This record gives sequence, C-alpha cells and structure tokens, in this order.
Amino acid sequence: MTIIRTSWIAALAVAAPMVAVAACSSSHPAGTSNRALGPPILLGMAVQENSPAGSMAEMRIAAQAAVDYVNNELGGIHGRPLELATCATMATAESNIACAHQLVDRRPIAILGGGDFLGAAALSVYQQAGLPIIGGAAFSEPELSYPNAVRFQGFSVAALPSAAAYIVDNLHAHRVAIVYTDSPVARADVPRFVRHVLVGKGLANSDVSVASGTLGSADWASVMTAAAATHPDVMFALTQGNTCIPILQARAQLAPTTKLVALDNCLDPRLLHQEGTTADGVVAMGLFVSPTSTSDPDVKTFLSKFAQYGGSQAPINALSQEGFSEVMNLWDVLHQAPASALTTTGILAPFKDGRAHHNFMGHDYTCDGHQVPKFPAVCDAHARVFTVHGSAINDDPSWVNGSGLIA
Amino acid sequence: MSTHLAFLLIGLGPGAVYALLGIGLVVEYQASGVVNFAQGAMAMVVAYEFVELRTDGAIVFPVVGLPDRWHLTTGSPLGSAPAVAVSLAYAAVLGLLVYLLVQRPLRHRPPTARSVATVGVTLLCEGLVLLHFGSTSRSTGNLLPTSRLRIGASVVPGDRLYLAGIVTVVAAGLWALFRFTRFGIATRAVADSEKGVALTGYSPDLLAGASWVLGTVLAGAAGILIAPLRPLDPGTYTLLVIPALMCALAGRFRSIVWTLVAGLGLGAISAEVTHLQVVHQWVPQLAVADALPLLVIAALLAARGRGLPARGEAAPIRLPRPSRPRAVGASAAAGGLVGVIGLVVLHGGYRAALIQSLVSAIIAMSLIILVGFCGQISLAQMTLAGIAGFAYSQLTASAGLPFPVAAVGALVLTVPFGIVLGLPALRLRGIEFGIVTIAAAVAAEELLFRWPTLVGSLGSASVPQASVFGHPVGRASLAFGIAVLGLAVTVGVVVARVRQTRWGRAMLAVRSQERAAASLGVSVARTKLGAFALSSAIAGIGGVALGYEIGQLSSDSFRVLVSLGLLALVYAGGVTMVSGAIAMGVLLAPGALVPTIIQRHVDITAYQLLLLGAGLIGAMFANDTGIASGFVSALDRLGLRRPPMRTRPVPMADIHTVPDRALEIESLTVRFGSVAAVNAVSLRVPPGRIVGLIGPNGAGKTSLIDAATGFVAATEGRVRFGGEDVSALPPHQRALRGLTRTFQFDELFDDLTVWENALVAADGAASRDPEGLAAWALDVAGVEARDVFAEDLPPASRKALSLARALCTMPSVLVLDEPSSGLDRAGSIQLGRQLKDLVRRAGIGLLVVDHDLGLVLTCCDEVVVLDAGRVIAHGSPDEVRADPSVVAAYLGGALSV
Repeated sequence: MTIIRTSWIAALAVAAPMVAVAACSSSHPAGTSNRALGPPILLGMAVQENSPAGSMAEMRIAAQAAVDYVNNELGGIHGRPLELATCATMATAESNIACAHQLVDRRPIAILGGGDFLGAAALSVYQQAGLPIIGGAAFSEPELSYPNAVRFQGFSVAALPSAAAYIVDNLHAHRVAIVYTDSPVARADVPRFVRHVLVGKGLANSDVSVASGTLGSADWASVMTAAAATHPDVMFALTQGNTCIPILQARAQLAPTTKLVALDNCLDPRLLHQEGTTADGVVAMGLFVSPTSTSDPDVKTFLSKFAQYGGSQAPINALSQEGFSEVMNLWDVLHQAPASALTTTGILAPFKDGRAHHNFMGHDYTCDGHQVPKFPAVCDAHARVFTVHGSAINDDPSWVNGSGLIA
Repeated sequence: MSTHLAFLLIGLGPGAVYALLGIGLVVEYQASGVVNFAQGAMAMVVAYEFVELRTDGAIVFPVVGLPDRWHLTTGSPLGSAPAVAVSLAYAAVLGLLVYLLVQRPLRHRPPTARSVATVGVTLLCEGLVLLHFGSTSRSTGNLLPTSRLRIGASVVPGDRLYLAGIVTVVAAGLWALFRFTRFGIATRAVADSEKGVALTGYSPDLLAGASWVLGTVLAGAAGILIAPLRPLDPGTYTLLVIPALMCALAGRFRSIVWTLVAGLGLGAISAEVTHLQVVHQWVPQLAVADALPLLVIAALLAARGRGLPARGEAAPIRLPRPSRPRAVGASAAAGGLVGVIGLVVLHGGYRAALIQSLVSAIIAMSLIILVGFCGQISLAQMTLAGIAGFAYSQLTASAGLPFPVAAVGALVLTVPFGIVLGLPALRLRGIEFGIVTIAAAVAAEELLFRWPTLVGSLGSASVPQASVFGHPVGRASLAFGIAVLGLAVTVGVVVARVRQTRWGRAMLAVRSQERAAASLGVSVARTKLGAFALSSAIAGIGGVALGYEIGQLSSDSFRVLVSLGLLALVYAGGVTMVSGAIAMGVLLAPGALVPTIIQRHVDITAYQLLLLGAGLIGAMFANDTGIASGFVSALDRLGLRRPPMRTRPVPMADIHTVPDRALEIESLTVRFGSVAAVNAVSLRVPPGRIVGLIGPNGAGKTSLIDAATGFVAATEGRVRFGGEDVSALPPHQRALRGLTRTFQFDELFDDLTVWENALVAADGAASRDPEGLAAWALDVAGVEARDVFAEDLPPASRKALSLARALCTMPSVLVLDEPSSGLDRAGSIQLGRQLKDLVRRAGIGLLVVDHDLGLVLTCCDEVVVLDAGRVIAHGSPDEVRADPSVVAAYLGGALSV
C-alpha cells in the first residue's frame, strides 16, 4: 500500500461536511448570545497535571474554553449546556484510578478523553461503569483499541507510520536511524509502526538502525553520535516531549547536516523558544493543522475562542488543540443527532454511523472500527507534515497516511 | 578503536556530573551520617534558578508566602558568570536551610530517619519547582566551549571534556581540603567519633552544617553543568541521584577519589554500551546502557564485601525498636470487622480507595519483615510487586490459567527474584546494601520490565477480570474488597506471628548484631534469605492484587523511585509493626482512603507533593518510630490496650552436662596482609577445664579466638572441635556443634528484651525445652530482669546477659572475651566463682581472655601467654606467674596479684 495523499478527489469528498460545519459555525458569530439554559450534560475528564512527569493542563483548559464557547455562543446541545467534571491525575496508575472513580461517582454520561501517560489504568473503571470515551490523547495500545471509545486522532498509529512513509517517499531516504526515548510503549511502537513500514517501503533491515536513550539519560550526545555513526540520510526522533531539547541540541552540534524528522511535540513553542535550542530544518509530523495556519477557519475559531475563554496563560500547542477539538467534534455530531442520543448507551452511535465527519482542525474521521486494523477506537490515521525554517513553522496542507503498512 | 575511544570520551561528561553529585553525597555523609536522597532534587532547584537567571534575570523564592520573584535585571538575561555565582550562593542558602530546618532538629534521630526526611525534601523540591516553574522542561545554552574534537570518524563535543576536567580539578581541591586542612580532618573525624571531635574544640553541629552547605553547592554546580546536556524537568532530574549514590558507594561514602573514578567510569561505560547497541545486533537492545554500569559497580562492591562484619566495622543500621505484638488474633478480628464495615458502607471511589489502601498495606508489610525485623534496607520492593503483577498478567491473559493458579504461579516466579535480590545482603549491609538494591531495581526496570515475554509486547499488560462460579469479580466490587481484606488480615497475622517465632527472633538478632547472632548458632545467610523470600512473597501478593485492581499494568508503577517513596512512607507509618503498614496504607499511600477523602473536598492537586513531603518530614519530627507507634502509645496511655505480656515464669530445664568435646587449636596462623597477628599457635581447651589466654595489647588474643570461632579465616593451621576439623565451618555451624563465644563489647541484641536475647540463643540449641534452657542460663548468670530491653541494662548486667546468652547454646567449650571488663573487684571475684561453679556443674570447657590477671590467675586451670602473635608461656597459673619471660616480656616487672 502507498501513502494516501490528499488529492482533489479526496478533497472533494471531505469538502461537503466541512462546508456544512463551517456554515454552522459561522451562523453564530462570536459574541452573539445563544446561551444554553437547559439541564447540563455532564462529561468527565481526567488530565495529567502538576506531575513531575509533565503537565497536560492546557488540554483541560482548552476543553473548558470550548465548552464555554459551545454553551455561551452555540446554544449547547439541544439547548442543554455541557458541563465538565474534571480531575487531575499525576501520571501514576493510582491517581488515574482514583480520578476515574471520582468521575464515575459524579455520574457523567460519558468521559471526554483527557490525557495521562498512564491513562490506560483508568480503563477498567470506565469499563465497569459502562462509560464511553470520546476523543482524548491516547498513549497506549489499550486506549487506542478500547471498544467503547472513539478517538478522533490516531496518535502513534497515525503519526509514526505516516512519518516512516514520508521519510521514504518524500525525503527519499536510503538509510534511516531511529532515535527514541525508551519506554515500554516506544519499544512496542518502533518495530511495528516505524521499522516495519520502512522495510515495507523497500529499505533493507540493515539500512535501519535504532538508538535509544531514556527519559533519565544524562546526555543524549552518545545516543546521537551512535545514530550518526551509521551514516543515515534521515534521523527519525520519537521523543517524549522533554527529550526533544537534548536531541535537537545534540543534532545541531554533532550532525547538523543530517535531516531530522520528529513528532510535533518537538515544535511546542515553549520548547523552541528556549535558549540553546534550534529546530531549523526539522520536519515534524502532527495530527492537527498548525496553529500558525491562521487562514484555516477552524484554527481561526480556536485561536479566537481559546484566547477569549481560556485565558492568556495557557499555551497553544497540540494538546490544547486536542482539548478544544474534541469538544467541538462532540458538539458538531451531537447537536445534529436526536436528543435521545444524550445517554451513556446511545452517545457513541452518532459517531459510529460509518460516515465521514468533520474533524475540527484535523483530517475528517470515520468511526467504523476499520480505519486501522486492530485499533477499533481509532477513527482517523492521517498525519500532517510541518517543516521548520529558522523559527517559522511551515504547514504543508496535505495529509499523509501510512497506517496501511503497519504490522 | 578510535570510535570506541570517542564514545568513552563522550561519556566522561555526564560521568563527571555523576561524580560531582556523588562527592557532594560523600561530604554530607561524612559529617552527618545521612544519605541525602534529595541530592538530585536539590541540584534541580539550583539548575532551575540558574536557567531563570539566564532567561529573565530573576531570583525565585520557592517559599510560599514570599514574593515569587526578585528581578536582578530589568527582565533581561543575566550573564553566565554572574548567573553561576548567584545560583551557587542560592545553593548554599538552600543547603543551610535544609540543614537548619530539617537535619539539625533531627540530629538525635537515627540516621535512617534523617535519610527518610531527605525523601521528604525531594518531594518538597519537586512540589516547589512545579509550583514556581511548571513541569515544562527548560534548557539553557552551552556554558563551556563547544569546539568539536574529531577522533577517527566520530565527533566528540569538546564541552564534555572540559566538564570532566573541571570536575576533576574540583575533586582534587576537595581531596586536598579534606586531607590537609583542619576543617577537612575534623569533618572526616566526625564520621568516626562525634564526641571525640567535640572534645577537640570543634562543633560537630557546625561541621555538619558546613558540610551540607558544601554538599549542596556541589549538587548545584552539577545541576548547572549538566543543564545544557539534558532537559531540565522535575520528573527526571531527581533521578540523577541514582548514579550519584552508586558512585558515592563505590567510594564507600568516604573516598572522593574513588567516587570520581566511579563517576567517570560509569559515564564512559554507559556511552560505549550505547554505541555497541547500535552497531552490534548481538548486544541486547534493552536499555542496558543505564543498568549495566550500575550492576558492575554493585557486583564489585559485593565481591569486596564480607560474609560477616569485621570486628569494629560500622555499627548496624539503627532502626526503631521492634514492637511486641499483643493479642494478634483479637486485633486481626477487630481490624477485619472494621474493614468489612468500611467496604460495605463505602461505595464507588471511596470503596476503591479503601481497597487501594489495603493493597498498599500488604506491600508495606513486606517491608515490615525485611526492614523492620531483619534490618535489610530494600529499595526494590515495588520491583518485586511488579514482577508478580506482570507474571500474573501473563499467566492469566496469555497462558489462560485460572485466577488462583495464576496467582500462585506468579508468587512462585517472584520469590526466586526476591532471593536473588537478597544475595548481595550476604556480603553487604546497611545503607550499602540498600543502594545496591537500587542498582537491582534499575536493572529490573531496564531489563525485565522491557522484556516482552514478561510485560507483553504492547508496552502494557492487561489483567483480565476473574470470575467465581461464573460471576465476574469487579475490580472495585465488594467481593474483591473482601478478598483483599482477607489477604491483608492474613498477611498481617503471619507477619505478627513471625515476630514471635524463633525465626522472627533470629531476624531481629541479625538486624541487631550479625556477629553475635552467628556466634549463637543463627545462620545469618539463611535468616536473611528467608526474610527476602517471605518478603518477596508478600510483595508478590500485593503486586497480584494491584495488578488485578488496575487491570492494565505499566512498568511506571514499579520504578525505583516508587520503591524509595514506599520505604519512606512505611517508615513514617511505622516500619516495625503491622499497624504501621496499615497506617501507611490508609493515611499516606497514593490513592489511599484519607487522601482521597481530602481530595474530594479540598482541591489540593497543586500542593500534593508539597503536603506529602512536609508530612513525611513532620512524621520524622513527631515520632521517628512511626505514626502507628504514636497511636499505640496513645492507646496505652488511655488504658485502652492490654499491657505488654510479662514473661511467664518458666521452670528451669534440668541441665546436667554438655557433650564432651574439646577445642584443639593446631599451629594456627592469622595474617592481615604481611602482618602475622597470630603465629603458629597451638592450644587445647578440654571439657571441664578453664584455660586463660593473656597477653599485652596487640598480642593477638582476639584474632586467635576470632579464628577459633570462625570470625576470621586462618591463614594456616587447623581448628578441631570434638575431633572434627571445623576450620572451614562458618561461626554458626561451630556454635551449633557446641563452640560458642562472647564478645568484648557484649554485642547484645539491644532491641530485644533480656528474655528474647536468651531465647534467640536457646532456639538454636539441641534442647527440646528452649524456654527452660533460657531460664536456667539466666539464673546461672544471675540475671533477674526478664522484660527489660537489653539496651536499658547496666554494664554489669549486660556482661551477665552476654554470658547467659552464650550458655543458652549449651556449649561444650565457651570462649569468653574480656568477661570482667566493667566489673569492680568484687564483681570480678564473683564472676570467677561463677565460672568455676559452671565448669563443675555442667562440665563446660572455658577459654577466658581477660586483662584482669587476678581473675585469670585465680580461676584458670592453665594459662597461655601470647606476645606478638606467639605463645611465650603455657602452664599452670603458678608456672606462668614464675616464668621470667612472661614477667619480662609481658608484665615488665614483678607479677603480683
């Protein structure tokens, strides 16, 4: 199989629902009073915050901003406002379970997907309560294959194989060095989603080398030097957020001419603007249209409403895009669905109708359980390509999808 | 070859930072005896401050209530040099504050409690950083020249070499400081004798404070130097303490030079392993780069260790006095009833939190056995729980085994790991062993928990829901809760009962004095490994329960820092009592009942780490024996608890005579290096005879009896006992055959009562009535108190108990080392009578080593005189008294008694 690049036909295929959503959105311009006043629709959301392992608070802040936007300007869903019951997790199994129970005790009709590196620990609680999960950042296989969920983005099953395909098809690499932050999840993902795709694209096994460090590695120079020693055309860095910095720094120092492909967490402005960090020339794979593409109507709405309802402190990055986007997708589908869908057992049906739906700031999604084999929760596996020039991020308007080649 | 060299050089950079942090640990430890687990966290705070200065020129006050930031500039970055200077000053203040506010108030607590408090400091540092800087990683530009050195086809960043050079120079300066200055010498002396240093006019308090300041400045410098090499974030910076601890341990927490060498070696090997992993397929692709160097250091240390501590070696690790369980059955029934009521009354998240508390309590009880009873500090307990959890997952999900079979299978797989973990404890002890378990935990994280066969190929392992008679058992259901409660109560009863058994007493004896325990017939190795086996089984039970409760297991739940946190929390709860584990589970553990209740009513999310850190330190301030201990004391004061059971009067066993065996020492030589402490000495101690062994200081008396009883290996010659060659037998085997000894400094089990001290020895004797034997021995030695802790006895009674304890082994030959020390003349005469009576009644042979010539020459049948390791005289007391060589060489004048 080959990468499915967005073509005119594909563009036409997705144009209709996008136009419809845009029309809906534009029917309630910002500031217009269309406040929802009915009984609230309660959704639970658990997000990793205040943890030494990192914070995803912006996802909650953005989701709340989107909820406020929906309630104040879009009339809620069938006149009923959305209400978020949130809980902060700490990247531990115990905190995820505790939060899941806390949310279940509030009796929401569904869980709005949040994000936590150990979020999979909460699945058993939601499963026991029969609660569906809508959207959210999924970091592990159980979250991506949880049957009672819809994931609007494919995360690793989207970004990794798409990046691998792009490296061969567009960057024409013959030798690739994969550099990754070692973790159980990464160890599972690298062979299935990257090496397998690279080999499927015609590279020999010996042309793909792998070097890894850990989150606690004191110095990534040895890892990057080892990767550079295999003389790759392209280095592909699969990093957890914090390790982007040393990889970018080591690459600038040790292999400045080697092309580096990374994930969009390396483009977080909070990282790029720090002293000693340069991402010039980096190609990154993301799941959303770049926030720098301000001509995109969804991005425009996001930037405007996030600034209005989210406050000035929250960063604009992939996580805040995820939080805002999932609420908008939820509103988009449910406000058109019959009111009877607003129950725990009925809420997923409108999403899983097998039709393509507009994905706010993302590629259109179809929740038919077959977008990516073995991952029924994933509704879309496309990824976006960004290129950094100097400190500017260029957003290639096309989407790539390499998930057909995963093992 | 040049490529290998390049990687070794690259590794010197991070290795130098490990070394600098390790040297800081050494400095702090020397003056205060505290292992500072917060070293990485304190480095992180200083590094954040440095980056903040480099970003907008601000000093951050990480103290709630003070102004958040004080700008040194108008928002522009501060230059590198002033930023370094301000940051190091900041580090000095931080070190001083930690000393004044945490360590100094705790200076009279055991070092373990003070080390636990540093875990609280770690949490405080993390919490404050999160509060003031957030969790987004920060970075800074290069501080050192970034020239590139090309070696063959590889490029070595020049700053790594500069870094190694700077740290080497700093280490050399510190070595000179501690070697040649009065401050340095006094600081090193504090480690040996705080009182001695005080007598020389130095304030140990001041030295300790200065050392904490210096140690924190070194940590801060390390944090600043490594900031350009790696992301600065609160999650991983604290992990730097792990390699630093290994480096300090390689230097035995004393040697700056060896700490430096270990650090540089650690970094270099790690970099080279990373290189080999990429270029050679045969090198395991698991993350061995971190684990392998740590394992190498651990193995070297274990090889360098000793089976039993040497004479005068560091005192055993001090832990809270073990409690004596009372009314175990009634307590278990009451606890079970409260648990059932709780599970029935509570619903949803609260019930789940109670179940979580019970699971945590079970895992904590594994530490009660291992640390509280046996004195083995393990920082890998969650690793064992993880192995069991993952094994259970594979056995159920992959192998399809039903719940009980899979659970038992998981425990069967876990226990061998626990025993292997305990093997280094046979040669290392105290905090040394504890730090080695860190290496084991890191190795397990990097090797086992990334091994697809154990943890699954997908990065997380699922644990399927079980069914009982076709009914699914929910993970927060009443049925599961009752099952976990049953397990917790059962484990609690087992742990409490173990405390009362001979094995429990042996564990406490080993915890207290390994040498004394071995001399009484206790197999130290078997006792320790047994404790590890039981402890790992309990941790495994907890791991299986945790796995079932979570449903999706990830190795993140079992990381080494989780184990460190667990140990600290159990210590705060009460590490020597079952109720301590329960207190920890309910009050302190992550996701436990009380924190959950608080969290539901007050949003403390942003302050969780701060509160936990402050709580941990506060618990050490309030009561270093644990929260549960305070609770129990309160019940005692209110009269709500049955008083400690008095030792019942036990009829004395009818002791007639001991087996008729003689000790024969044949041409025994003991060398320490080139020095012959004992040189071809032969002597015989037959049953029913008292042989005296005298000689001036340094004559080799103690070395001779150490060799005779198995505490020192003889270089040449043989030791026979009852005709059997026992030269190769360990001390406890000799004791079990009837060759026992006492020690010059008693080496009593201070945390046990008089009665328990005697029972430990009687347990190993070939008697069907150990209690009767203990009663007989205490009576013979004239010890009347039974329920008093040995630590509280006056000196004369300690000597008597030492003798009684040895008699409890029913020895054929008893070696007494300085039995009269501390006795006045009347006491010495009384002791002589006692010994003669003992020989007459029981037929025991005695070898008496003493400086009290009156005692030796009046009560001994024959006397051996040693000088410079050789026998210079041997005969009756009268013959020895008249021997001119003795008078000349030993007494230096007329011999008078």
